[in-house]
Amino acid sequence: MWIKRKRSWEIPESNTTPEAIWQDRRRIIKAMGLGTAVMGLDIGTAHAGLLDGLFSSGAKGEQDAIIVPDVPWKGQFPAKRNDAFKLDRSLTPEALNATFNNFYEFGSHKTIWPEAQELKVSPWQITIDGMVSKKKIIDIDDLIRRMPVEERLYRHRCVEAWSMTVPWTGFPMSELVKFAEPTSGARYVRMETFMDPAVAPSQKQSWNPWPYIEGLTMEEANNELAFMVVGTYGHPSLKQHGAPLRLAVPWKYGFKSTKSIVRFTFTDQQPVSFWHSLQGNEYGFWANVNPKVPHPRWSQAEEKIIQTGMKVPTQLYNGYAEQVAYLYKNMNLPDTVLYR
Amino acid sequence: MRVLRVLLAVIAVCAAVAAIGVYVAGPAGVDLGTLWNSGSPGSLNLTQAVVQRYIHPAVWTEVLIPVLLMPAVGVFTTIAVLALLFWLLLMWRRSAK
Repeated sequence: MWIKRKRSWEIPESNTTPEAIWQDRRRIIKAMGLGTAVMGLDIGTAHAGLLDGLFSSGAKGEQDAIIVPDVPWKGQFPAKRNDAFKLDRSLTPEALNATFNNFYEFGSHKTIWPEAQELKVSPWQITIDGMVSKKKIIDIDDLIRRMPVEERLYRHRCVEAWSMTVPWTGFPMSELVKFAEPTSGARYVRMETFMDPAVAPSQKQSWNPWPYIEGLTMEEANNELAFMVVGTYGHPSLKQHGAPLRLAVPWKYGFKSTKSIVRFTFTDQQPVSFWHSLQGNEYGFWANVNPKVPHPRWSQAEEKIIQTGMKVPTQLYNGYAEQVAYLYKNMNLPDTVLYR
Repeated sequence: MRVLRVLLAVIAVCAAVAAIGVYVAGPAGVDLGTLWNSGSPGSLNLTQAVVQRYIHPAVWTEVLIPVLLMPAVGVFTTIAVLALLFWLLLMWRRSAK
């Protein structure tokens, strides 16, 4: 007998927000008296401004933020959707996704999309070095042409306790690893973001350990979910989303998903990530989603879905436990290390 | 007016002590942002978030970043001197009455 086993992240249709409420969400939430500062301060300082982004960005014109870069690889879009990665939750409307972003190189606020337009995404070269058979420097369009590009629907869970659902276009990170030809001693992949203080104002902050660094273990990088993103919503990535090449690791908090990557270094040393070196007790190397392990300043038990404004329970590994739990099974690490 | 005089005196003394402390014990030429980050990275990050989200992003990038990139000794000395000058001004106005 064929039994349909529901995946842990699937939610019933009854939980879907009615379209009328979605269309009228701003007025409804405002009417509920959820003032910006009250909400932000109630949950945590890093969370502050969530509703700011939702409301104030609208005034600027959300559609204006969808500026698709004119890049040579635009012919790759739209890519075929891989139905193995679908969600039982509504997608975040692109206009909202385009106006509510964390991209620390351009600032600590959410409406960084105008500033991010300064980023020049073509030509763009990727360096692959470290413990590999041969160092490679490759143009992004050449890399994309060599990769099996597809679309996947992923949840995205921010450490600030909000979430969205995004149609990413890209290729499995395992394909990049294969292309890099790491040597047997490589245990980690270190990813590095562009460095250009003339373009990204936060990079002028000499006290920050620029450029932005993140890392994964080789096992994580080879996991089926680890995805190198080159597009969203059926077109090349917007600059505020980390064009032209970013990571999506949906079982981890969003800050692990490095944006605008220029270098992959294979190494036997655990990379010291940007946020770990700044505030390691709050934003660590592992950063796996776990509702039972709170951030030092706020709970991670629930998340606010930004397109509905509704709070839902957060799930272990953001609902992807079936795919990734094995990676951490025999690790004797404290919860505050593995899940922050 | 008395409260203001006391406040200015306190600011002048604290800034002077900070300037001397950084000059004697701190890394040579350290900028204010690096000094702040080494002592309390969380509060610096929080300040940036509050300024950019609730005041205006440009206040941080155009005003505060340049200030934070200045040498800490210079910033503290400037604050101490300005506070002292205003305190002297208030004292002069008080004695002139």
